[in-house]
Amino acid sequence: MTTELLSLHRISKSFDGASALMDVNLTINEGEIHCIVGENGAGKSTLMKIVAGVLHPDNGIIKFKGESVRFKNPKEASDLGVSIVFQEPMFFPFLSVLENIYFGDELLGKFNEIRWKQMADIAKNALLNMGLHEDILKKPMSSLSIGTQQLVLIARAIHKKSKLLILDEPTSILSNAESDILFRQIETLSKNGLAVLYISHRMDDILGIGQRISVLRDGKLVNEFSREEANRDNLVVAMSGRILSSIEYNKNSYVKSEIPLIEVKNLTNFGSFENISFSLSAGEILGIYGLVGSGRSEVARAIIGEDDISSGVVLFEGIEIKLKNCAEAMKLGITYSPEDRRRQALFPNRNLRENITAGLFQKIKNKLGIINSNIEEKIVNKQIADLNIKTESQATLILNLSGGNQQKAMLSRGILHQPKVLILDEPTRGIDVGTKVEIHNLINNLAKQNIGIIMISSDLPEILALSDRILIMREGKLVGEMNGKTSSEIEILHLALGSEQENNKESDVNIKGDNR
Amino acid sequence: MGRKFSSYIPAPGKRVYLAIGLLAFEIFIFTIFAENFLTIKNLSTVLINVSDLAIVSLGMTMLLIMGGIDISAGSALGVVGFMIAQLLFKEVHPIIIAFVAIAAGTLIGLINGLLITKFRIPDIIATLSTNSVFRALIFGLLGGKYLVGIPLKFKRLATGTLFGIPNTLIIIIVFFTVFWLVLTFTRYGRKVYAVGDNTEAAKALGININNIRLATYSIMGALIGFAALLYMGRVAVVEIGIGSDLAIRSIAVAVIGGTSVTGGRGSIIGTIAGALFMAFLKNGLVLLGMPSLAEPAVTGVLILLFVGIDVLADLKSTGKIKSRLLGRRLNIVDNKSKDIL
Repeated sequence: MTTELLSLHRISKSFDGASALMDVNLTINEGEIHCIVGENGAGKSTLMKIVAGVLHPDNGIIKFKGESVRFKNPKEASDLGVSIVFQEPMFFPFLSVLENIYFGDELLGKFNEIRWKQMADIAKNALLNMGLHEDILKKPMSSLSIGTQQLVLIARAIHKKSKLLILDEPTSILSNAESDILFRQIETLSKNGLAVLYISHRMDDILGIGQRISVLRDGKLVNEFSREEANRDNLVVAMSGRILSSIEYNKNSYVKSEIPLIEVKNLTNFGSFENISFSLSAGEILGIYGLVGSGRSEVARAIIGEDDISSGVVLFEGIEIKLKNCAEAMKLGITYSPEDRRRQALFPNRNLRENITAGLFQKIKNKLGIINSNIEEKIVNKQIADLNIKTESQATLILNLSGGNQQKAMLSRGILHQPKVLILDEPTRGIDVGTKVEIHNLINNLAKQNIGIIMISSDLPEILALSDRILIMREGKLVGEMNGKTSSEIEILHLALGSEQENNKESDVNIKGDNR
Repeated sequence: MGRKFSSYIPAPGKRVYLAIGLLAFEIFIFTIFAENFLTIKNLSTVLINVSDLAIVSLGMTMLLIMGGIDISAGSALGVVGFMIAQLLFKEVHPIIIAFVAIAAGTLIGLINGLLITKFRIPDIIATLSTNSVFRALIFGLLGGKYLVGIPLKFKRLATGTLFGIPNTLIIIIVFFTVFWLVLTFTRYGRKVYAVGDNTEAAKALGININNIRLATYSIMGALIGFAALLYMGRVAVVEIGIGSDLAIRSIAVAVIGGTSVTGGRGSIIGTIAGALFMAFLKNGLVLLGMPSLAEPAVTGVLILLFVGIDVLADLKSTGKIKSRLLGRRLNIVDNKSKDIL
């Protein structure tokens, strides 16, 4: 006998014209542990934020206990009993654990005074249930480890008498012991009627606790399994098969050089990644695939000197390098194009021209050291033409361009430095399909010009279409290397998710059926 | 178990011991080197002179905890002081004057608050600008003269004693107790901390940030209004430079007491220590025969020193300096967590 607690009807949401969710229907029953799985960018977090009132759907209806609801903010959702714990914990770092647990619904006395003692007594139990020591109640949140902070926030959500608890990748920052405590607690609570929406891409977690498992792909709900039906293989098959722009790129044939352009040996940064070794030849496109938290970007940042290296070496053209920052990397010819364009690359208040030539003063200055705007204009015009950047003029504010054209501008900034190695972190995230193809062609052309390219991407079709070789990372470790021409999505996903490889014929058939 | 009731009340944090220790050290030094320092007469003079600074510092502490600041405090006190003087000349009843002074101060605070919340002007720019306007207003109202011979209706309030205890000491104790209770035991008080600690999280929890800001700036205004009464009782002169060092000194008081200029941290007990420290500093420097110009310099250096200490302590405790500067998401797993049972 199940009672429906929350249901979503045809929920759609798009950002900047790029569709994140399309017509998603989902129901959650009371006391049910419902897992949502999908690759990076499949729309899991967006969906959860909509349920918790952080985001608002463009279309569709949310029903809570049969009544249509529209949460203005997370507070309204939590008042009804919907709590969310974000993947990246959100809390008050300088306030005590006790306050963080109770903030917003403190227990009040006769004079509306906060009853600290009474709150502490209850909070102690909440902490004990999560396997935490009561002594931390008085400590400021900032003094705890990330995993403990996460557990405190889950304790907060549970103690609030929630009816629905949403956990977004809770175990990605928890140790195994912490995860076990969490799972036990979730199962106890679900027996007492708490519904849990659990987002993860860890197969063991999902198959361990999920009573129903829904699979999201490209913003659509593609499959729903019961606990009995689900296994590693059919989940992976359902998650794969994202739509590719159905264009076959002419892969360049690079020649493996004797001395690799970049060689990384046993690179380790404790807590981020361990024992990473690989090499890159000139003209090669090396794809790095992994799910969130696998340490891909951290490796790239360590190579260019922006993150620490605990041990291991990086060789550039056969010579060991120890870079202090990305400026030194650029001097050598290693350029990194970051994942988060807005925060780490763009100058949002400057125009297209200045954004492209930023950092290029050596080339556009005249003898007196003053910027020669004629040279600058010529350079930028050539880039606009070469990369087909759609803009009214060079003077257009960068923020007025579409995401795809912003990214092209960032790529042209990198190209103008004439790099030998180009590290691209999520080069096409949040970019429309048409521009994506253009950027793919550009990357291919750069490789043909003998630039070595490391492409970090969560977009599996993209990785498969462009890479000569593919490295797969999971939880900070290199778990596989594959040939870009012969490997399949399923194989890569299996490695990235950490499930055993049992590729039977049946699943192969399924993929073909799924690929439109 | 067996914990005391008090143990779960939000504590001021370790930083407050530094302020108290420093205050003790200061008293020790001045007692040795300035012979008239540790006398009843001198100490009560110091308490009388510190009263308006102490009251304004309370408001400044709350603003800084909330992530705000008020640069206009001194000239706001000047404007209210001028009004008080005019009403005293007109022989209005002191109770009404007191009411008007506090209302006028609240209004000024509300104006600052509205500029910051409705027009979204950054706190420091809004109050720096109103400071300039208020200062010009005082100049215009005074017409280049001093306002002297003001009736001494508030002299007893500001300089008198009750059962041999200076009134100002009683006032300070009452105000500090009330504000400690407000900051520790009311939802409003905890929201002040929350807004300064993590504005986004506070918003997500449904707190109306602007209301908290408006309320706190208004409270600051009311405190300035009351401080102006004490000032007029003690000084009884309005001149163009009235209150010109009040903002910087009250910021120094808060910062010495452990209030963070980036918000989220601070305590009333720290501010008491900070206020006494600043009061004894001015007094001690005079007794030691130092030029009075030395005091602003010392104030400035103290602020830089204490903010510097706090920033370094933060960086040390997080140990993530590089990542912090890059604003990167931290994804470090700490498996050695001691907090797990």
